[in-house]
Amino acid sequence: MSSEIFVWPFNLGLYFILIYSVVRSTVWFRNLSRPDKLRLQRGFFGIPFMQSIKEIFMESLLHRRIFKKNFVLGYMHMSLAFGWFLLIVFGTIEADFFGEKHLNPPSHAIFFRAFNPDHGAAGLARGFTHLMDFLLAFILSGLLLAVIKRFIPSMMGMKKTTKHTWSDRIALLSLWLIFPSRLLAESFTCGAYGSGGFLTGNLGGALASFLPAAEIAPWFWWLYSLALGTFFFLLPVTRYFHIPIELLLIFMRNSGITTGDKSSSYTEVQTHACSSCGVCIGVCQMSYAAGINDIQSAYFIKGLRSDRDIAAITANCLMCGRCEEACPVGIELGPMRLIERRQGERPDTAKRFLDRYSLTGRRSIIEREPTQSYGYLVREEAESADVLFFAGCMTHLTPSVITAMKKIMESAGVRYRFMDEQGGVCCGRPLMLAGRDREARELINHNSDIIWKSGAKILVTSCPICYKIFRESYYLEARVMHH
Amino acid sequence: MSVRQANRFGFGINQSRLINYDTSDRKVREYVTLREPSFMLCFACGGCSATCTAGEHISFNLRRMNTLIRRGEIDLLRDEVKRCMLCGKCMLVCPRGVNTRNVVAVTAEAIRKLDRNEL
Repeated sequence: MSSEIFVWPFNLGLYFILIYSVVRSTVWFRNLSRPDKLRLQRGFFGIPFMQSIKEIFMESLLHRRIFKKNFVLGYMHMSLAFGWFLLIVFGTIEADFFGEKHLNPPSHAIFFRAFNPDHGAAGLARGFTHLMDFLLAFILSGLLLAVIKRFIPSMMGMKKTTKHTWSDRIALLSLWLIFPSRLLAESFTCGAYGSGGFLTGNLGGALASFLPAAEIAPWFWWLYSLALGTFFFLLPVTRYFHIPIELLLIFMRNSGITTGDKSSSYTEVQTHACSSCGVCIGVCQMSYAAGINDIQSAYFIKGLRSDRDIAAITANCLMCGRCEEACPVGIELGPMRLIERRQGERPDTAKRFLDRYSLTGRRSIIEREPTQSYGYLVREEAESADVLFFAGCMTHLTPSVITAMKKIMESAGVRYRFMDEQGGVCCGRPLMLAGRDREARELINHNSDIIWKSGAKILVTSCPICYKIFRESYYLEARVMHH
Repeated sequence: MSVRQANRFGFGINQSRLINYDTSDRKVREYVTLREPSFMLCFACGGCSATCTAGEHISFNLRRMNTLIRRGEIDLLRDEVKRCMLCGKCMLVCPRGVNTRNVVAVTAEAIRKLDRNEL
């Protein structure tokens, strides 16, 4: 084929997305905190590198975690990701091996058949053509499942699929168009020249028997190139940006970077690494028990990504952590939601826009006004004891537990004190979950004060939530035990 | 005679406690009932107040908060709403299933917005 203009939509899209991904990753890297930068550098040139490569192969290409959830769903993801990957790899090898010269531009590999229509008549070349046909059939089988999943999610063990934004829909449509248009383009070309493997050759032969294949083929090559180009151009504003960014996330995570309790580049990378697969929607108890289907982590992340006001979504969650456990990408959804809750409301769009593209590049957050909330709490006279019992808010609703605890303490003959017999304060967990850390700290200080002054060696709780909080968020000398 | 004049005279008189439901500030009430409709189910039994953790220490009282919201007494409400520890015991005892914890959270949000003239 002499005219090569049709490869340009693909070329432009490819170079755009490559440059964009590199620039974006560089900016994220620069905005990392210093310790995290060092971690990433050490992780990149060390043992974690091999782990990351292995994880990229197992998760980003083979989608092992999704396979564990449902075989058909896993197959669908694998055939699209791994199949496309192999198609690119073998396409490059084919173009390198059978093309006129070595080291071709990517478009020569992707549109190999358009440039070499009569290739693959016999021998090794014929075998390669069959292999490429097999890979294309492999991807198309996955695509068929993907289309079915859109309409009947239950077939893949999914209760719901994610509702997409318009940009996601266009990208999805172009993604769906890529492989059928390649199939038809190759088939028409093969039909016209009497070449091709078991799929494109036979289909092409059948189509060429009643259609002018040589005239139709260029149209489908154009469609193929346009679909690829559109897909690449839309990538940064859609969920498909997870394809390049998930690799970065895996490197960062394996280097030991964690979400922590502040918004950072890592939270942004996690935001973009979400593929909106919708696994979190099915496992969410708000979905299957309360019928609320618009607050799950997929939508939370989507809102973060498109910088919308998601205060209602952020607040409407039980923080049970099931989505985090189920997430195939391994995004730390709990900490991310807490960060968002702590931040409170976002400033309005215009201000946010200015902040975003200002030189500092930092999002401004409306600071919560400082308030002294629990100034009314009286510091109690400390009574010394060996064992302290903290019943907590919830145990006070079941007095039989308190009676039983008292009986045990008295039978054991220990010098004990019932810390909140006359009504203590809360352990602080509900305030922390509401993103009001400062207020929670007031309560924690109040309780810590009582415990320190009593000189107790052991603190007994009868509520698992209090137990967790006393263990993790208090700095106590006393040993915390649960009964 | 105005209140200031009366004070200068040597005797204090209380501010008028007349609540006019036609002219009272309904913004917070509307905001709360819109965001947390279960608030309308409250029949002021006081179960929440009896079990309140904060109420053990101070006269904090969700039932009174309810009255203040309905009357539109925002100045009193502003201090009241900060006292809650969000422990959620009131939610467990509420016979009407009101999401009381969210009522407090939404009220705080409404007052914050009111102070920024966004409501």
